Amino acid sequence: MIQNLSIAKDVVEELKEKFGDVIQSEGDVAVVNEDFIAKVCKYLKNEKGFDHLSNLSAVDLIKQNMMCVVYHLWSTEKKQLIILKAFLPRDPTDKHVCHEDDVCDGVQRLPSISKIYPAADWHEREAFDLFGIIFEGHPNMKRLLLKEDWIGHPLRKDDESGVPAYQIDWKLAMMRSNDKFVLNMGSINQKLEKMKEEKEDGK
Amino acid sequence: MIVVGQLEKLIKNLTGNLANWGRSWSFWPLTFGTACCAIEMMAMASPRNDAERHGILFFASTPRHADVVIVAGTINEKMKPRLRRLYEQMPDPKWVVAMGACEIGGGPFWNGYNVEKGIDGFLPVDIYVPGCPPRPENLLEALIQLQKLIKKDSMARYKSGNPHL
Amino acid sequence: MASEKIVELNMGPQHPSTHGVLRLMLKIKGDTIMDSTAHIGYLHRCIEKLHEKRHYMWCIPLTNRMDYVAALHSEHLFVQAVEKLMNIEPSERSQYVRVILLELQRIASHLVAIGSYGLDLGQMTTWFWCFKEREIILTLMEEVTGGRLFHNEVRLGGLKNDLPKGWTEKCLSMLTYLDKKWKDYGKFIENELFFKRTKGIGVVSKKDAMDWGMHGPSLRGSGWNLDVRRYAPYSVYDKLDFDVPVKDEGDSLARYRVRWEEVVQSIRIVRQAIKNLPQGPTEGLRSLYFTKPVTPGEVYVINEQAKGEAGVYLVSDGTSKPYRAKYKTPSFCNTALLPKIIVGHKIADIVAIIGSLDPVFGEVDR
Repeated sequence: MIQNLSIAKDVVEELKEKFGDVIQSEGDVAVVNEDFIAKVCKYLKNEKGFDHLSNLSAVDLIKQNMMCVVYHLWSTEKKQLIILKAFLPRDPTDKHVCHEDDVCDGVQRLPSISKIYPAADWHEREAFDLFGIIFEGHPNMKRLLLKEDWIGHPLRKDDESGVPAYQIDWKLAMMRSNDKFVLNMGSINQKLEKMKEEKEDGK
Repeated sequence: MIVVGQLEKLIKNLTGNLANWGRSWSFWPLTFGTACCAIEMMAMASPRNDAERHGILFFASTPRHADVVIVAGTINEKMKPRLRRLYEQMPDPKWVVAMGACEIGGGPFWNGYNVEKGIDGFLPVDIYVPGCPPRPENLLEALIQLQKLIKKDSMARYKSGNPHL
Repeated sequence: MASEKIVELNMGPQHPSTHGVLRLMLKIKGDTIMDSTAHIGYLHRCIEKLHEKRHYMWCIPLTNRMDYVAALHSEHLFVQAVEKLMNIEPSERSQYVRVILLELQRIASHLVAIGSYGLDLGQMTTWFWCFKEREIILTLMEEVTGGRLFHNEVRLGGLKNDLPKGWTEKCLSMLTYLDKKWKDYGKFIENELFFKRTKGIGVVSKKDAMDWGMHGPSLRGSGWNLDVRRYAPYSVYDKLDFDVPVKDEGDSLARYRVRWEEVVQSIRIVRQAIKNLPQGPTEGLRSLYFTKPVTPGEVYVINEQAKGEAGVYLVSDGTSKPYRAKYKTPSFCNTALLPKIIVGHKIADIVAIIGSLDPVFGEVDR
């Protein structure tokens, strides 16, 4: 059977009544205005019993020029899930180095929920490291996975740090000549450069 | 005079070969395992493929006691200076075995922004073991080949021809 | 006095007893730990970014390398997410076979955990025995899938290979052998020295465990009766009969005992699944979804992996490559609270605590 995580739609309606304009609902998801996310989470934890933070992830929506942070909260008593989303404006020039105690001023900011859900501590640091979203009120907003003096935020869609996945030319890679198959033992860098040169010569 | 010269040569030959024989039969690798290949390295030391009968004991927890470093696991930019420092802390003579596809040319992660494409850019490699991960029998065969290299005393340490070393 | 000065000690990325590349900066006074910080990222292999550059089928070998001790769990997680998006239900037989292979992987993962735990505390025999039993399981997996550690087996709507003839009898005889031996191993491991090193060490109270975000057998060792196979069942787990072991003390001994009992329950599940195995097709739509576009949308799926509750949040934009795949792994959440647990203990207790939380660093750093 396909797993069915039941979503608490009645809680979304109650949130809309209590907080008013701050929350809109898109299907099952409650879209929260970015400044009020901490208050909504505190209400959900203390009064509605959503005690388990399941996931906190960031998504880069480059076509709509926005970034999005998605929260999945689970209630162990009622076995229900609630999904919150917060949209932020996107600034492509936000490149933080942030390895000393300097203040990062950027457009993509959100209040941190690490005092309400301590489990969100490392999730928020990872979102800062890979996307550049600053969480205000976090005790230790530093890079987590990459080395401390890395410049840039790799998981953004317009970041060019990695090697592009070009289509492999299988004929060239097999290098069949007189029905012999050449097996490359050793470093692949020299072979790749050689292949590129030969392709250019061939053209 | 000729006999003394030949005697000298004989003694040098014997002791030289004795040292090589001793080094090859008591191989202590450094316990350095980063990722998935480390599990197959542990399986090589487990009872089914017993590495201890060849003299390979995983007792060198510190690089000061180690002979060989079997690099098992992807190396990325954060780990690279630490591995180089560990290699420089090992006393001579020392060897390097590159185990797995990640050390030969980046492996399945060669595309990534953080991954070193092969360790022979900063370490002199003696033996490459292909596979993802290589079977424990593969790795054992590679270590036996390295033992043969040591006995012949052809220390092929700088074969990769890297000018940094 | 010398013992009143605070000294900073580095427990570096290369260490024989941290289960992988973990760096702990400790502030110690004498032999007691006052404060510590954990640094990770020494195995960050950009798996989530590489997902965005490959077709869905080519992402499956990448997911294998996250939890490299029990690799089939992560594959199953990813493929379930795509099945939920496209609303494809796999056939009955393929679901039963998936459960058999998943539970065998869970036994293999717990064998590594318990074996390494014994080695860290000085019992080398435990390590040798656990790895000896693990070789039998790996041979069984190799007969089905072709690989010892990485399988690349689960496909959309089914599996790549069906079980070969005579496999179920071999599996059942292996399970009777393991069942007999497992109780003896339990009595052997728990001797006086083991109790002194693990009883009362690393106590996590019930409230703290939920607040700080613990997962898996560690959470069940602190008194919470939470298992994804019970509160959000997937695949055929609602038709199988098994118990969830829970202990109340919250120390390292409780966490180890939960893992020991989970092996017994996994053996029970595999026996039931083999008995109820239906006939039918197992082939998935492997040729179809090589470059076929997937319905746009987003989905969140959770699974009970060997180390705890794992989840994947998958966003698809209608093409044949994922737009964003975010993995929430249990070892990431468990390692985050390591600095909070070890405060007040001695240096020799760190090894006992890390082993009882059982992190695997392919999952932590991804």
